[in-house]
Amino acid sequence: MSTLAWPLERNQIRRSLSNHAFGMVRNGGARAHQGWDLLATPGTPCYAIADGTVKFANLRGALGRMIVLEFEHRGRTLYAAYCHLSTIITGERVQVRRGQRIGHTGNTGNAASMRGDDQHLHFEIRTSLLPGMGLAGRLDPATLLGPAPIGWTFFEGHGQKISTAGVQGLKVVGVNVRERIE
Amino acid sequence: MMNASRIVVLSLIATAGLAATACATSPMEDASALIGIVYTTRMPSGPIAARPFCTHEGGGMLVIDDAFSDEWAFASIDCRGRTIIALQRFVEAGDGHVTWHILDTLLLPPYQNDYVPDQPHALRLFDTENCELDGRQERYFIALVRWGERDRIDWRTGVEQAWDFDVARGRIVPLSPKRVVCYRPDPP
Repeated sequence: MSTLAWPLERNQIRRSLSNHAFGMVRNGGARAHQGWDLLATPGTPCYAIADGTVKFANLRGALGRMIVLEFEHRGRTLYAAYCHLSTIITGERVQVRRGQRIGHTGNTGNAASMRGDDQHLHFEIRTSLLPGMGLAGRLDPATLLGPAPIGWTFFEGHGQKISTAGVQGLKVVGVNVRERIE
Repeated sequence: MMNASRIVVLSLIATAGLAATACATSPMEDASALIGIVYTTRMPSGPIAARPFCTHEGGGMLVIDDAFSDEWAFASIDCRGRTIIALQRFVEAGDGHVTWHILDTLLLPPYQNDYVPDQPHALRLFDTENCELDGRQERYFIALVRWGERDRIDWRTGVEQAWDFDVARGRIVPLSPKRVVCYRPDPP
């Protein structure tokens, strides 16, 4: 089983606030947030977190331009959803490799008003084909990738990896630090 | 030289004629003309070779028998600014590209793709992500919705039209909006 890659090179929860992480974290615990919002200026490359098949690559209402990637992880079929993208550079039923660039972040869908440090990739891990409302059919991405990166812990570029000091979060190779993809 | 000039002129006339023919077709005719076409796509916004003024804007695999189908998909196709939904069947795949056969199409009325703050009640295209059919979310379908007063009470939107994908008949079929409930999504 290969280690999962991260969806971005730099992974930091938007504004480092827990209500942009996963769970019943909105409206004082009354409403769900179905994934992670990872800070990203429009045009930031997004990567396939695993080998898999693109099952959806299209505009989808409030989620804007969206990719759903089907992949296998520890014997389970799961789905990674990348939302609010500006561009998609893959298509439905196309097979992709872990670490392959598949799109670029943006402000599409109901993220159109996002500016500055609110611009983000909305990233979900789904257990269900059609996951429904609330948290149904979804997993905390931390289940797969490790703790939500509240305060960014590393920068991983292709060919360089720069650690940062004095911030929260874990830095575990193979857990929340993406292996270098050559 | 004379012959070459005549060929150029005739070519220009022929090209202009083709362009005029293309522009003369209505959106409905564009949708009809896509049926039966086999095309190859790599990524969204690529032109469809047989209808070069139409671009494949994206798509997704249909959910059949509780699994993503490997064979059936829908596509969003833009022809001169109008969105056409296609029901398509897998033909073959290569290195980063897939070939599809379009079996049926649906011309959608104009709707709002972006969430423009000053158009809160614009017509929007939703799918199973935010909608239920007969109270369930078991298969992929699409709906045109509009915010109403009710979304302030229980987050339900109004549903104006909805369609299902009938792969047995190779058709896109209308659904009664009464069977469909859609919910206004959470803020980003």
